[in-house]
Parts: sequence; C-alpha cells; structure tokens
Amino acid sequence: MADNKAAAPHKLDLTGLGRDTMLIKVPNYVAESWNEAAQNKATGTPLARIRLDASIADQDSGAAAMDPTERQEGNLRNNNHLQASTAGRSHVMALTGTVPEHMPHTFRLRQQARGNDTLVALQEGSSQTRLAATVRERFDTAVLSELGNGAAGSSAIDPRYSALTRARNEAATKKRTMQVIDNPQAARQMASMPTNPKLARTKPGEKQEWEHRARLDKDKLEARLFRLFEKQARWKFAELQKHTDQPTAWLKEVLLGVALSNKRGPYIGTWELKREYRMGQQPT
Amino acid sequence: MYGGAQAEELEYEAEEAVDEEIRQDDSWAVISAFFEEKSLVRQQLDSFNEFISSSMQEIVDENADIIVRPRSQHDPGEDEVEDKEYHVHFTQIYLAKPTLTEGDSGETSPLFPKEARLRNLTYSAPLYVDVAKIVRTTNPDGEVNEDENISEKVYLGEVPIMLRSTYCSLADHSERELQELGECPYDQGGYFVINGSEKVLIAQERMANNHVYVFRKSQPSKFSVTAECRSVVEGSTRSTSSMAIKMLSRAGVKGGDGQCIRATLPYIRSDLPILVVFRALGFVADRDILEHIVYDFGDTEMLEALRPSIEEAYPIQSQEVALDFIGKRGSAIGVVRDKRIQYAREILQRELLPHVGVGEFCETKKAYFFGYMIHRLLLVALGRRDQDDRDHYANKRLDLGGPLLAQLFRQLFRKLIKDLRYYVQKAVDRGRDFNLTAAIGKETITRGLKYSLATGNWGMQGTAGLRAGVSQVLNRLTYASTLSHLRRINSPIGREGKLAKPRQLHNSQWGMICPAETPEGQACGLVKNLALMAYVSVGCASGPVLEFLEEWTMENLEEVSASVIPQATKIFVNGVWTGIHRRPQELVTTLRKMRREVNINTEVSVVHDVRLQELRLYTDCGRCSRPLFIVEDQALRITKEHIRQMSAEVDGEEPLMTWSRLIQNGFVEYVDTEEEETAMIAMHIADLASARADPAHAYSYTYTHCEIHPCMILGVCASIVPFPDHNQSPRNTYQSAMGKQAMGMYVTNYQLRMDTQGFVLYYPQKPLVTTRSMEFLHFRELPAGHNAIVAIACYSGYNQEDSMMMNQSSIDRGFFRSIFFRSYRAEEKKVGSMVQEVIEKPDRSVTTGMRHGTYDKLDDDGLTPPGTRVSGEDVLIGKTSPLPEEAPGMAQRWSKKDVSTSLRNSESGMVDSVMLSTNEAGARFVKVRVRSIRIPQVGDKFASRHGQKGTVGITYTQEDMPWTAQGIVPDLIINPHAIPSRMTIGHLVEALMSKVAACRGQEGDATPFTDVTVDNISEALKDLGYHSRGWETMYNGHTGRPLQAQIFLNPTYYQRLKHMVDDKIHSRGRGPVTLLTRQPVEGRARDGGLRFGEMERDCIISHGSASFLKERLFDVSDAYRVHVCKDCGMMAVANLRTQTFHCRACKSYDSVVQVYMPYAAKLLFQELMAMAIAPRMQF
Repeated sequence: MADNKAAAPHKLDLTGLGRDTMLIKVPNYVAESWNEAAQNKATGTPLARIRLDASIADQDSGAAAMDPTERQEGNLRNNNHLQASTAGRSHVMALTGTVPEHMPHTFRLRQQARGNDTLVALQEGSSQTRLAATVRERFDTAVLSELGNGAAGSSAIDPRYSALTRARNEAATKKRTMQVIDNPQAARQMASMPTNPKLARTKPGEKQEWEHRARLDKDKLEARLFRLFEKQARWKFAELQKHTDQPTAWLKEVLLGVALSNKRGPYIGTWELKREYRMGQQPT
Repeated sequence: MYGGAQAEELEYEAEEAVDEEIRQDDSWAVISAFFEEKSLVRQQLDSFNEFISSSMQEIVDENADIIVRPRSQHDPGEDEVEDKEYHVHFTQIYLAKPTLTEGDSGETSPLFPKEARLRNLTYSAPLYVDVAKIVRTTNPDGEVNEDENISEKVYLGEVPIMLRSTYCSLADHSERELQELGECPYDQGGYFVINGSEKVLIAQERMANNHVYVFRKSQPSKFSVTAECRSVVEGSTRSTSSMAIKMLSRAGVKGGDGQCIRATLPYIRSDLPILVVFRALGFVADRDILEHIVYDFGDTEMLEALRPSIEEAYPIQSQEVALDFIGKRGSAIGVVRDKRIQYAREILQRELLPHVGVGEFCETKKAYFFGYMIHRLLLVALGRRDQDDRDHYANKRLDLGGPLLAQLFRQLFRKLIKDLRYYVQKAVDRGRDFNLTAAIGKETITRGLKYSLATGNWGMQGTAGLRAGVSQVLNRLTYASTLSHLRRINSPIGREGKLAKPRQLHNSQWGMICPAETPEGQACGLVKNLALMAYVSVGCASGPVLEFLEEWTMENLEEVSASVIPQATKIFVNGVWTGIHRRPQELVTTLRKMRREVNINTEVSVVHDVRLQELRLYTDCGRCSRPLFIVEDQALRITKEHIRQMSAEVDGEEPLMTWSRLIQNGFVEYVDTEEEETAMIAMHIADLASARADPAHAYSYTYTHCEIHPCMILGVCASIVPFPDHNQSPRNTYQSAMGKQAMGMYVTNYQLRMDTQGFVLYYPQKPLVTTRSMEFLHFRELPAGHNAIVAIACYSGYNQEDSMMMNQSSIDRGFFRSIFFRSYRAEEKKVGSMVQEVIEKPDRSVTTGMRHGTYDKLDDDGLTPPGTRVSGEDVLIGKTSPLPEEAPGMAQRWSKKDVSTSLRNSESGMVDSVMLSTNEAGARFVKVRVRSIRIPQVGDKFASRHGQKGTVGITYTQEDMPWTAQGIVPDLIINPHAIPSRMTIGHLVEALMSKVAACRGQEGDATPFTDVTVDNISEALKDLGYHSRGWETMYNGHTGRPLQAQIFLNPTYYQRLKHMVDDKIHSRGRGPVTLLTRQPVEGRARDGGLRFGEMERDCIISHGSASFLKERLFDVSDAYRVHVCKDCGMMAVANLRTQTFHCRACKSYDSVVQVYMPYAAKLLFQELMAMAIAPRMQF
C-alpha cells in the first residue's frame, strides 16, 4: 500500500531505514473512525491492540511497541501506539475505545502476500518526504467474532458486522426511483394538460398571446429604449419588442423618433440610435 | 387428502419432538408459504416493478443533458455581444395512476383494467418529468449570468402498466374489492392491456454476458480452439463488445510457425498476436506476460504451447511499437503515428473488455483478464478441460418484461432527446426562445411503447434488429393456459435450425424449466416454461459484495504479484476478475452464512469452483434460481416446530413463520443454476435420514441442500397431470399441450368481459384425483373437466382409432355441455373531416352494398338487442358510411354504403349482451357478444389428462350402454388399444384411485414422486368391496347378456377440448374465387374450397386417373377459355357477340382457335408478355 512514488527533488531522509513497521489494511469504516480520532483527540491514546501468534508466524513475533499504522495517504497518524503481545491461536487485532459501539471490534490479521521487493513506508512531512520505516510485515484484516474462536469457518459472524452490512445493503438499494403521484386530483389535472392544448394553455394570471399589450407612456418608453441602447448599440426589432413588451405600431412610432433602422450594410435589419442621441464613447 | 403417506401419519401424530426433522409431507407447508408470498407470475411483476421504480429513472438520468449553443450565421461586422448557452436537464420522473382522458369531453378519470378491456383502451399511466432549463449567458466582459427555470412535471407520455403490479390501480385491493371492480380474484396479472387486448411479454433467453466461453472448432475453421467474451458494462447502455482469442489449428498453420494464438479486438481489422496486446497494455517482458497467462512456471507444457506465440511477436518489443501495430490495423487509414498510437490506446481503454473497466489505469486488470482468457483457452487446447457447454443453463439469462421494456424505453427516450435537441437548436439558432413543454414530443414514448406491445415487434419502428413475437395475446382458453403463457420462455434461435442440442432438455434445467411442457414440432425445445418454484433474479447492486470481499482479505489484483496466483483462488464478481484469496473455503462459508442471514442479498450466487480455483459471484438479473432446503450436518435446518409455526394462524394475523422468515432464518435459500453445480442436493428428506442412520451406505456424506419437493420440477400444465411419474414421458408433453385447449372456467368474470372468443364449461367439476400443486394453480376453483365414468372396452366398434362412445343420456343430463361466446365489434370511424360512419339500421332505399343476411333483427338504433336468436349471416351491427356526392346538385341513387357487421356464416346463437360506449377518440363504439350452447355430439374432441385424446364415434342412450350389477352405466367407453403402446399407466392408476376417492368421498393424491403405490390403492379398493384392480362384470345393453371379459370401469377426469365438429364441418360446391387467379378461395370462414395439393396430385398421377386429375385441377378450379392465333401462337382478341376474331400480333382475322386452359396459365402468359417475353402456343 505504501509505495515509492514520492519523487522529491531533494534528498530523501533515510533515517527511518532501520525501523521496522507493520502495514495493516483495515476496513474503511475503521480507517474513518481512526482518522476522526486523529483529528479530534489528543495523541497517545492507543488505537488497537495486536496479538501475534508465535505458532503461526515464523518470524520473531511480539515486538513490544509497534509503530503506528501508516497508510497510503501518507500522513502519519498521531503517535498512538499499538501494543502487541503473544498469545492465542491467530493474529488478532482488537480495537480499543476509539471505534463506535456499533462497529465490530475484533479482527483477525492475515499475512498478505509479499513480493520480492522491499516495501517502505514514506511519511509526507510539511516540507519533505521522509522514509519512515521499512515494512516488515503486511496484514489484512477480517472481522472476527468475539464469540467464536475464529479458526473454524463455522463460527458465528459478529452481529455488529452483520448489522453493518445490512445497513450497507440498504444504502446500496437504488435511491433514484420513480415517484408516484398518488393524489388523483393532481394527476387528473396534469393528465388533462397533454391531450388538450386548449386546457393546458389557460393558466390563470398568465398573459395570453392574444391579449393586447398595453401602451406605455411615450417618455417612459423612450427612457427604456435609451437604456436598452446603452447596453447594446444595435437591436433587432423583435428583440426590442420582447424587452419592452409594446404593441408593434406604438413601438415603431416611438422608435422612429429616436432611432434609425439600417436598411443596408452589415447591420441590416437592426436599429440604432440617431446620431444626436448617441453617446460620445460609443463605438460606431 | 387421501394418499400413500397418510397411513403412517397417524402413527407419528401422537408426539413429536420440537426439533424433529420434518417429513416430505411437511414440505407442502413450506411450498404453500412460498406461493402465499410469490404468486405464479411473480417474475413478471418483479421485473416490471424494477423497471418502473429504478430502471426508468436511470435511463432518464443517463441521457439527461442537452447543451445547445447558438450556431447562428456569423455577421461579419458585428462584434460578439454575448455568449449564450442553453442547458436542458431532465431530473426526477413521476408516474401517476393509470388515467383515462375522454376523447370527446376531455374529462379525466382513473382507469381500471376492466374498462380498458371493454372499451379497447390502453391501460397506461401518464409519465411526467421535471425539466430544468438553464440559460448561461457570458457577457463580453466575462461575467456569467445563469438563469434557471424549472418546469415541473412536464408530460412525457403514457407508459402501459402491468396488471397487478405496484403501479396498477388494482394493487392493494382485497379479493372482494377486485370482484366489485369487475376483476377475477384469481387473475394474477402480469400482462398489459393494449387497445383492449391482453398482451404478455414472453421471457427471452440469451447467452450470459461477461462469461469466458471456450469452444473447440472443427475442421473447416482455421482455428482449433477459441475463447470468447461478450463484454457489457454493468447497467450501461453501450452495446456488447465482443472479443475472442483463437488458437490456430494445425491445418491453419502456414509455413514454419506453430499454433499461434491470436486475439480479435473490437474495431481492429485483423487478428493480433496475443503478446502484442500485452505489450500494448504495458507488459513488455516475456516473463511478465507469461506470468499473466500461465501463473505456474512449473507448467512446461503450457509454456511450450505459448512458444509459437512468443516467437511470432518477437519483432515487437516495446509498448509504442505494439500500439502502433494495433493502430495500423484500426479503422482509420493514413494517419500519423502519434494519432495511431493514441487511437490504439483508446481502443484498449474503452473497447477492450469494457466490463473490466473503461477508466484509466485498468491495464493491470485487463492484462490479468486477457491472460486468464488465454489460460482458459490453453486448458482446453491441452485437453485438461472440456470445452464450455453452450446449452448449460448457467450460461443463460432470461430477459423478462422489465429488461425488455427498459431496452425499448431507452431507445425511445434517446429519440425524444434527439428530437428535442434538434428543436432547441433550431429555436436557438433563430434567436427565439423555446417552450420546453411544447418542445418535448408527447407521442414518441407513448406510441413507441404501444407499437411494440401491440405488435410484438420489439424495437423502434423502422429500425434494424426488430424481434418479432416478444409480446403475444394472452391465451384465455382456460385458466391453466393463461398461467402457463405468463411463464413462457422463448429462445430466439431460428426454428429451422437443424441443431438438436439447443432443443434438448439439459441436466442443468432441473427445477428451473418444466421437462414436459414444450410444444411439438418446429418450436420443440425452443419454447419452454418455467417450473413452478423457479425464481428469476431481478438483479442487485454488486457494491456491497465488493465491499465485503475487500473486508474479508481479498487481495486486489493491483496489489498482487503474479507468483502467488497458482496457490490462491481467483475471485470473479459478475465475470470481472477482482482479486484473489488464499483461504477460499473460509470466505465461501462466510459469504454463504451472510447470505443466509440476508446480510447480503439472497439473490447473490456464490459459486466456488474448486477445480478451476475460482470463486464466482453473480448479482446480475435474469438468472434462474430456485429455493432449496439448507442442510447442515446431514440434517435440515428447518424443524417440525417451524412447520407448526407456519400453520398456526392467530385470528387472521400473519402466521409466525412466513416464506420471508424462512429465508431470513436460513432454512431455505435460493440457489441458481451455476451454484447448483457446486451443491450436493438430496432428492428426498428421507435420503438425509437414511444417510444419517447408515453413513457407510449413504449416497453422500456431504449434503448441502435438499429438494423442497421433487414434483416442483414441473411447470404449470404438467402439474395438472396425475401420476406423471407413471407415464411415458411424451404423453405428459402431449397432455401439457392439450390441457391448454381444455374448456373450463378461464376467469370468474367472463360474463363481464367481451372476449373475441370464450369457452365455458357448464358444470365444471374438480377432479377426484388431484396433485398437491393444483392448489396453487387454483385448478379446484377453476376446473376444466368432468369426472366421467369410463369403461375401457370394445363394445360395438364405434371406438376404434381413438374414438370413443359416449352416453347420450349423460349428455342430456348436461354432461360436458358448454357455452361458446364470440364478440363482434364496430366503431364509427371517421375518415377525414367528411366521412363519418354512423351506426344505424341501413335504409335499403339509399344504401348500396347491402349484405345477404337479414337486417330484420336490428333495432332502430342499428343494434341487435340481447336475447335475439341469430344465425347464418344475420346482421348484428348496422353501420353505414356516406358516399361522396358524384355531381353536386344531382339526384343520386345511393347516398350511403353499407359497412355492417354480420354473424359468421357458419355460426348461430343468441345475442348475449350488447355494449355501447365510446372509444379513445370519443367515437361511438359497440361490442356485441353472441352465445351458443354446445352439446357434445359425434365428432367432438375429448381427452383424459394423459395425452389420450379422441373424438366421439357414437352416442348411445343409457339403455344401449353396458351396465354393472350395481346399475352403473359408463359415460364414456374408450378403446383398450389406446393403452399398451402408449404406456400411460398413470391413466389407469388415476382411474383406480378415482374409484377409491369417489367411494370414500375424499380427494385422491396423485402428486408425483411420493410413495403412493398401485398396491396401496388396490388394497383400499378391495376394502371398499370392489375388485382390487377396478374390474367389473358388465352386461351388454343390447342383448342383456354378460360381457365375456371383466371391464375396467372407473371414474376418470376428462377434458372437453375446444375442437368441435360444428366449427369444422365444411363443404362447398361452387363459391367465391380469388380475384387474381380465379381459383377457389381458401378457408372455411370464406366458404373456400378444399385444397387438392401436390401429394394428392402425385397419388392420382400414380393411380393413372388422368381424367379425374384434370377434373380436380382444372374443371373444378379455374377453367378458362382463350382465343389463340394459330399462326403466331399469341392470344387473340375475340368478340363472341359479333363472332369476329382478330390477332393483334399478325393482324390476321382468320386462323384464331379456341383453347381451354387454367386461368392461372393465362395469367402467367400475360405476365410474361408484360416482361417482354412472348409465350407462343404452337399447334
């Protein structure tokens, strides 16, 4: 999980080369709660207790104090210590305290395949990446029931884990679903819209196409036109009408007073202000 | 119920320990619980609900966005004012309850299926969608202005709703309420109502995707072995992307190179050496590549098999070169190298095995999967494994209504989006604003769905790849036929295919597909039916499974070094190799346990293939599975106590133990076809007991499951057969086909329905001998037959060759009397704005084209009132259509044309009911139902439940029938010759048991695979004072003398089949001919002729009766006279009145002769002439 991808321009700090570390892959929910713990609580509280079994592991087990678990993200955990002791029949990791009650607490550790390459853990400091330790052992975790001994497959599954997966299943059920309109009244209203365009159109309060546009005061309309021409030098008539909402004849009448229509040239079909109304800085 | 097991029952009943193992009889409680929760059409409803609830929303989401920018003509001098961008975004969709908008008044009301059926409407619900329109304006000074406008609940179209699904108006109604709504409480839904006709979606079988299939190829092929993978991304819209790896056959090898292995990639024109693909994926070193294929370097044989391939790819030694090599063979030609490499990279990323991943950094996984495919290929090539079985049911998936509709809806929705985009683009280009509500095409989805459901042509009209026959009209002949139709499966393989393999019953179909029920003839074995307890998975998310694996020490492929693979087990999830695991057994036990506690979805299948060292997990939809009892330590998990809880009903409340609780408690689980291969299933519960009692002689000491009941392998129609385990197997198949033609009670609301055809038996009886499965088929409530007293005897010779004698007195008492309904419909069609048809009594004085039949039975409103006796071609519904005025102002002889509907010419009956309503468009719409009573007569067809069909040869009154000492007279006498060659022992056993059942007043139990024996039944019969084998001494009804032999006289359940002489009887002297050829028309309904076909012709030729032959083929068919010019041999013009003859070809007026020939020959000559070929008749 830790890899040597950090290629710092400066020299790598190799002080941690002599230190051994164990890399433990933990489930997401454990990692999350540890992250939380790292952010909230003071350092020094143990995260978990690891018990290594000498009869299984062929290497010297039970180094007294293990280094904190390091993860791919690189930022080192607070100096919480994992304590290891040798007893029992399988490697076991028991979470202490930091994990919410509804989560499984005991995990079986299983040695992971080790390639031929040496693995090292890197620590990203604020300025520099530092080699923190060489990885001596990689472990994977699986939930261990506190009831059974865990060695046999027939042991019961931790009920907390069951609950967790169940919740996860629930979360995985598709949430984006069709919504059902149960209110027949509403349904009826809506259903009437599509097939009958006449009914659909008559919404109260909405102005209808065939209603007359109200004429605005000439002064007011002129003022509005000037404002529009401030925004933009040339307008098409339809656009102006849309913005002013005036009857065609009236708008044209007023517009003729203040603007000219381009009958030819590149701006054909547009209106622009008469020269006397134009402002100085406007581009021509 | 009386049966074999009940004798022991009494002994045990005294006391039972709580944890005692259940017995076979108790499994019926479990089966009842299953059917209590899952009706027989559950698969249809489940898949439709899934489609509506999530698939539709997913489809909308995946094509939800339209982004349009104005593509306006650029005005050269004008400065860019502002940059506008229009987004149209579809979000939430809504479905209302099925509604109906009346065509005339525009009124809307909730729609119920009954109304839809009667008024020929479509039972559909409106679909709405929230659409957001966002106008993003970027001012010249870079200021972005967003204007969002959400139109809520915009109408999208109508979606046909499956009856009794969650979205149906009938959901959550009690039986009583259903009855009040005009529905049959036994009708289980699972079909659609389109334009008033009921349509079923037939499940379509297909090969499973994402599997690696390895096949050997035979001689003409260039390759000896191929490995194929049809890869589809889970829940995606993309079409399948197939790839194949092929090993050259020895004959295919050219020159010095050996049997190379090549890969076919999508979009790459030629096959590639496999090592090139690896190198292109970034695995360059030979060792690295071999690690991905062989895993174990000790396997020299396999390494050796790869040698030619390695040598072949020797010139290509880097990723760049390999990519270029692939790129050169891509579709684009003449591009620069960089482009080629980029193209090849993209092909590898997107098109190669997309199910493994289409993102970046999938190369490792793809290389592993690619290597795995080669590994599998080599295993077959080296003879270590058999090729894959194409017909194994684990390799099949069923597309039910849901996936089929989703496929269609996706196409239609895309079309809608395309149209919308076009509309918006056009509006934007012209600088106009657009109205979303108006822009969305309302008809695309409505019409598209309706078209496919109505015609069965699956897919958009006018597109390629249209599948026919997906939707069929629901068979309503009898209740069982309806049920069976709803559980049908079709394999879309050409019916003409000579290959027998796909048609054969496969071992893996055990328990999933009925072994008996399949049609005979060309579709045999291609059309199948689900077994009673088969369950088709609806599909669930693979996410939780992947997370679980992650937490249970699966090592991901990216983290794993190839050297550990040979010791580990590969894990595949839905065909994707996700990782390996070192202790698979433990993982499998945990997985199973989790599934049994429903921590993981029960649908997930866990297949641990020990030989291949693979763990395959499936969560996809369309897998066949079935429930089985879970066995642990040679004992069932379920105990007597749980069975007791199941039946204990506390005043109407749910019993303590239901089917879902059985599953949650891990007593039963669903096992799919592939997982079944890894299970050890005990056939009977007793097998477990004996295995425990005597482990040394046990069949197995590792039972994992037990059948719930072996009779659950049968389907709907085969479950009606009593003692099918005593019959020769084709007989059960024949009965399965015949049971669908039996008359009975097809629904309880038949009087409220207006089916085009309906057969109802007068006094249906439930059978004396039943199977337990019939309970779930409601065969007792809606039976299809009578318990007839049947003698198996030769009595007068009128029952030879599968005919039977019937007791006329019984017939007179109502034996097998039935009603036949036929409905006729008419509507006032409107053509254009002028022509409006009118339902009225046609006025002879102004109406042309009046029918032959009488119009007297019509009322003034143009309809025949109920209670009118009608026959022949009597007019039932009078209707006229106005004729266009020829010359304005002129008096016209005819102003109307008659378009009435008359009764079929060969039928008669009584008008039963008349329905007058309006159709969707608001036009008047009429249905008239005519009923006729059918009394059994000579020629009618009957059958027992064992494929023993026959027609009535004669009817004898009671006094002419043989009688027994007790005075019993048979209703039917069948011929003893029907039995020996057909070996339907079940027929005899049924008869024997029926006698016991009749005497005891109890139903007999004829469930297959139970311990009922003929000896048991004989014993019981003997106790009742009868002959133990059911024989009776009988006396001749004609003479009064005893019959020489004792007669097997017992009750047997008989069915009346729909084929009746009155519907078949036909003769013709002269009659209508076809317009084109002037040969007699075809078919009884049109008063057609009887075809004198090729084989008949051959007979007469060989017989030498030339005159007769000429009579049949010519005189009686299309004799015609032509005039031919003797000189040129062409047909001449003849005017017989003036006796002038004239040849147009040679302009002569004499030398014209008269010739007789078939009209068809004359037609041929003229057609040839039209093609500029001159056929000349020489004399």
